[in-house]
Formats: sequence, C-alpha cells, structure tokens
Amino acid sequence: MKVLFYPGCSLKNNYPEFEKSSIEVCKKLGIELLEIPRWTCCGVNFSLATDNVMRHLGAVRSLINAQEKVEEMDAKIVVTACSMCYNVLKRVNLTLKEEPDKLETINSFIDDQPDYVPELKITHLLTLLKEVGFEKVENKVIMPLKGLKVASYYGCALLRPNKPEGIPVDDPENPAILEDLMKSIGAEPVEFPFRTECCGNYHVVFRPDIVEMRTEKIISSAKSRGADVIVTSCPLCLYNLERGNEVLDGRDRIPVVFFTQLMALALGTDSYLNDEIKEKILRKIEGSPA
Amino acid sequence: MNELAKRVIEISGQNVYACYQCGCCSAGCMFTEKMDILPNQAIALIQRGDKSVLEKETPWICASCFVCTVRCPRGLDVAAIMEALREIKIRERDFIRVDLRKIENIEKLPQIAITAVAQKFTW
Repeated sequence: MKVLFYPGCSLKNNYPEFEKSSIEVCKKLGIELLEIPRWTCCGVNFSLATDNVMRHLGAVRSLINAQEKVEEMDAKIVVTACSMCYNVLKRVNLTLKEEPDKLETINSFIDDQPDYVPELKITHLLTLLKEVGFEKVENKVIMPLKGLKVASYYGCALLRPNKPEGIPVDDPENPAILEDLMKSIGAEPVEFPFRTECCGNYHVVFRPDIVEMRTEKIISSAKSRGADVIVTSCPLCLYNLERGNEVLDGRDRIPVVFFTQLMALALGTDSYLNDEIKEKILRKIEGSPA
Repeated sequence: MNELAKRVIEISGQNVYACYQCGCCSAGCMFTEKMDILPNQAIALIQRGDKSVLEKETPWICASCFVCTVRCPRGLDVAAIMEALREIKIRERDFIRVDLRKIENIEKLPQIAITAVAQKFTW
C-alpha cells in the first residue's frame, strides 16, 4: 500500500530516527510512505483564534501539494508520525471541511497554488497501524520484547481536544492504542496515571521551570510503576521529558524513545536507537543477545 | 454585553456567559501552581468586563493542553478563551511578551519549540 507521508520539521532536523524507523516499520508491514513534495511547516500549534485564518496557511499549502499527488496513492490519506503535526493538520483540515467561508478565504488568498478541496483525510501512523491490524504487526515480530516494561506516554496532541469529532486517536481520558501496540510486539505495558498529561509544550523556551515541574512528575510516575522505557510519538514531549530526566537524576535516566523504534527492534529492522539506549533496552528483554 | 466579553467571544467563538463557575477547568489544569488566578476566575472576570484579566499571568501560562476543554460540562473551549486573552494583548502591536532574540540555548532547542512559542506569543 502506497500512502502520502508528512514528516514535518522535527523528524527532518532533530529526530531523524523517528522518520527512519517509521519508514522501516511500515516497509515491514507492506506500507510505503511517500513524502509529500514541497511540504512546509504545519505551524506546530493549531491557532484557536476563529477570526483569523492566516496561521492555517502553512498547513493548507502542504495539503494542496498532497492533493496533487494523492491520485497516485492507494488511499486518500496523509499520514503523520509527529503528534503535533497530526493535531494541526487534522484540525485545519476539519475546519476547512466544516467551514466553507474559511476555505473560500484561504483559497482566494493563495493565488500561487491550486484551490484546496478538503477531501483528504489526516491519519496518525498509530491509527494506520491499528487499521492494518496489530495482529499483523504481531505476526511480523522476529524478536518479541518480552519482559520489557514500557510506559506509553500520549501527551496532549494525540488525544485532545475531542471537538470537533475525530481528533483523538483513542479515548481522550483512557486511551489504550499505544499499550495495545506495545503488547503486539511482546512488551509489557505499564499503566501510569500521568500518561495523558501535558509536558509543558513550548514553555521549554522561556519558562523551563514549567516544563521541569511537569516532566519531573511524569517521569517519576513512570519510574515508580517500574517502567524500563517511555515511548512517545511527540518530538517535543521527548525533548521535554529528557529535560525532566536531567533535572531528576542525571545518572539514572529512563530512556525515552519513539514507539516506532521499539517496533523496529521487534520487527528485526534498524531501530536507529543510540548504542547506550539500545543496550539498556536489550538487557531488559528476556532471551535477548545482550 | 460588556466590551471585553464581546471581544473574547469574537476571537474565540466561545460564549463565555455559558460558564457557571463549577471549576472543572481549574481542577483539571496542570499549570495552576504557576498561575496567578485560576482559569475559571479568568472567565468570571471576562463575564464582569474586568480588564485586569488582561494583565494576569494565567493566559500566558496556559499551554493549550485542552484538558479543560475536554472536561467542561458546558462545552466551552476554555483553551480558546485563554488564547483570545493572549490575542487581545498580542494584537496591540506594541505589546511584546517575549523577545525571540533572547532565546537561550537556541542551537539545542528543537525548532518545533521555537516555532510554537513564536506562534503563540507573537503576531
């Protein structure tokens, strides 16, 4: 199956391991992720000002480029791996579907590209994997991550808000999609109460104290439940959690990785984990070579 | 309707008068310990037309995590109301909340964080 992929800035510049492992994992499952030509930044946060559409333009420009290519694909979807990109593209697309006056304003403003016809669907990689079937993932596992205790950290952008309908990838208060996926690769999901809480978002730039307050709690909670590793699908959450790791205990850091990296490890393809983290994880897996 | 409430409703699309002060938003908010007033108190000030709300820290501490929005029994997008309060200030073009030239560790921060802060705090 060939589908369009929107990587976003963080996957290209800061966390190439997320993009590469996503592509590898999909390849193993027979999904080919094709990058949208000439995509631009999504804007990171969906603008909540209803009287101004300017901040939606970055997302729309990418969707227009996706629309030109989508006919060559097997589904009319745009897949994202980054939670923030997912949330913004999803919300902009839903807004334009539901509010024709805004669509008209944007289309008349963008005069160097064709009009956007909101027929695409924005899908997070987790949702795509669920649709393909976690049992299919399970069937492809070469090295089950048996004994590895995984804390699934959802953060905000995958789950909230719940209006308009269709944004959360799972129940916003009690999600299970990441835990179910972790089970399918043989790992042991660890429930922890802070898994849907906010890491502090962009406050890391000017108010790191806020991020530290949040991430200390999140990491302590995951550790107290015996987690060996935290998985996420958000590059900013990962950065902020690493900051919490530093503040909390520089030596006893809990590895924070992208969910696709653990999948890649189990499916027997390159996980792009750094050596230190990979060894730490392998040591926890029963019957692993480490 | 007071002038402030009118402006907030215009920007956020949220009927601030629907709030009945149950405090659900503040109970779920993860950032209240860094705020000077609670989110429900900010809405009460808007309802009363008290412009002092525009000088409070609270709207700037809100990180748009949408827990309040998901839990509001009146269906209000509280995060959008906080954004409207920020927008009112930001649209006074001489108002500068943050100076992007003064970011420390700029080479270490992921660009997603810098773009987000620029998106939220500047016009």
